[in-house]
Amino acid sequence: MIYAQINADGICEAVSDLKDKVNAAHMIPIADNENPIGKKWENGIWNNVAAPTIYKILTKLQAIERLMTDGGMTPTELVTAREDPNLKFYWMVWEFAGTDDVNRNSPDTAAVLAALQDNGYITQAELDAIMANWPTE
Amino acid sequence: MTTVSELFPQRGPIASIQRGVFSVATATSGTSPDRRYTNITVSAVNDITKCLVNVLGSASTSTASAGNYGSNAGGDQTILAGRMTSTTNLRIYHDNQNLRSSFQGTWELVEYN
Repeated sequence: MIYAQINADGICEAVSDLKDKVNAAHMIPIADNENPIGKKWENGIWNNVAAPTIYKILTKLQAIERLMTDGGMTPTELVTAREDPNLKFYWMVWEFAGTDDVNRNSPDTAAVLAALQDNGYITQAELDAIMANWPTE
Repeated sequence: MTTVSELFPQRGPIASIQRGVFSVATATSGTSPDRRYTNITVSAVNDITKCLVNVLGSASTSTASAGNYGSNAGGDQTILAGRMTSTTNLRIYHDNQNLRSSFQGTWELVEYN
């Protein structure tokens, strides 16, 4: 039997040819020739969905570059911020992180940007620009 | 060197084969060895120790430019693995700390008697 497996949002993420009948709300029986992967199961039919915005994971160096472009920070301001006692905790976390990845949607990223704003290194408009112009796939 | 019988202890006749395809935009986050994973529901097997899972697929993510710190080269991908976590759940996963989270591929579950 062929089943489409949907996630919590109703999006089909898998199509499986199983040996027996499966009774589960997230397993939708489909015909052999159907392929609804990526479609949304709504009211008994498959609907196409707009592709979600996927933000690129940046390296730390690229994140610094974001601060200098949309964030408007100069090299001198970056150096000052690097030595600012109010921000040292965030730089420490930055350095101790086990990865070079900077994720737009990470709470750590939000905390760093908020701290830069709170301490006058970027404005709210610049923070908004950093987020709005974050590179996407 | 690992022997064939160590790699494939399930030596009886095949009881069943299940297979499928998957395409997951954002896999679930977890801890090692399942830093990123997705679960596939399958028809119940009798004994997960007599199952062989074959996964042919990869995980990718939005990647940074190659070369920066050398840890996240553009276009790089991670190979996926699979195992049974229960009689009805096949887990597809990777343990790459760069957390590539978009999964695509195929799987096959062979159960032996």
